[in-house]
Amino acid sequence: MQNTITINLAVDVIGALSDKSLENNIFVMDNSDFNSTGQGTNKLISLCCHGQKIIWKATAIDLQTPVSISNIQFINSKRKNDKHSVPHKFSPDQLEWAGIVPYHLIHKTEYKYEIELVMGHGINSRLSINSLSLMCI
Amino acid sequence: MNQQITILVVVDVEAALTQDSLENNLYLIDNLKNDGSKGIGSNNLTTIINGTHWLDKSQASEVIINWQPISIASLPSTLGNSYHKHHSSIQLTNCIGEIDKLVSHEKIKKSAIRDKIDSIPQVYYIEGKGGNLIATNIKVLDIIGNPLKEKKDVPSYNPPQINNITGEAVSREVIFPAQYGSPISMKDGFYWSASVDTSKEGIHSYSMQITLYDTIIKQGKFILVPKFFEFNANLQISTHPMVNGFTKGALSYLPII
Repeated sequence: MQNTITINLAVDVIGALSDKSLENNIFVMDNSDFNSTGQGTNKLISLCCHGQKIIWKATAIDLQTPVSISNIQFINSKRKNDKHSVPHKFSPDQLEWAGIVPYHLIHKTEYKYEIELVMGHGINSRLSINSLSLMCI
Repeated sequence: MNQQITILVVVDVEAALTQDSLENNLYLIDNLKNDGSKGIGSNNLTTIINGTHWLDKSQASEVIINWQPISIASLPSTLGNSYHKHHSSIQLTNCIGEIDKLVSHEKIKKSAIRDKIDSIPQVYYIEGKGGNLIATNIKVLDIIGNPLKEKKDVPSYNPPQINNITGEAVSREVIFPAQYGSPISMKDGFYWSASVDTSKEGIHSYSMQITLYDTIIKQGKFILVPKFFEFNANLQISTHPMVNGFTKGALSYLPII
């Protein structure tokens, strides 16, 4: 079994900023061995195992456009990322989004997460999408 | 932020050739205003590069810079590389057709034929080392592709060319510039690009060797004369440590409950 699964988010930054939505402008793929469903769409369910490391990466389709992951939040999760407690301390470029799948996750249950991307610096530069999920096989 | 950076090098070619100086005739523009670049739109640009590193000090993000030299009066970037070639070959075919019509007339006016021959586009020449003239395949045309006769009509759309990028930033191995081929006509088939070692903090200057082309008329021929210039700009590099997005520290379990 592989130790690490990478989830790669390909983003059409100009499309997303002009639509003010990631919905039709994001294409998500992973390299899981377990045949994840929804590859290349915005509804990827990444199949994984307890103890595996998951890494998220964002790639701009147009190399001249900026994109970074600014937050990942598991939905219905009581533990919140303290994204507001340390404002401006870290730029999104400094953040490596990686974590280990906890052992308490229930098999065959979808754990949806919301991912927030930041594209540039303006007031409308942050967009998020909540249709992606992890599932333990 | 992870992306390729463009530094636009805009030159007022006509003014620079007249004054024999780029000093007040060059504008540097990068797309990192929000990262803190200073002097955008002036001739004194400091590009700010916010790099990142891992705990062992190795580079965590690579930055690529592309330099794009343009003349203020450049041809529209939407026109293809072959625009002039295509347009001038149509022109040539039309001229030959019209001359053919003229000579089949019984009363041939020599001056009419001469006019037609004159409307065949000329080519630019360059001067060889011994003063001999070498024809190029660049046609002397105006911006919409019509042939030109007078020097005063010659447009200054010949784009500036970067021939080399040198200086402190190169000798200190902060940037690794090279020229690459490009299918983008705006870049005239080639462009200069460099990767940046974002672990080398500090201000580093670099120098662009820029060639502009002046046009002179000699023996009734249009001659392109290269003029060489040099211009400096700066990079200011900072680097920040990478941290885990979830914990803002070390790797741990995903925060799912």
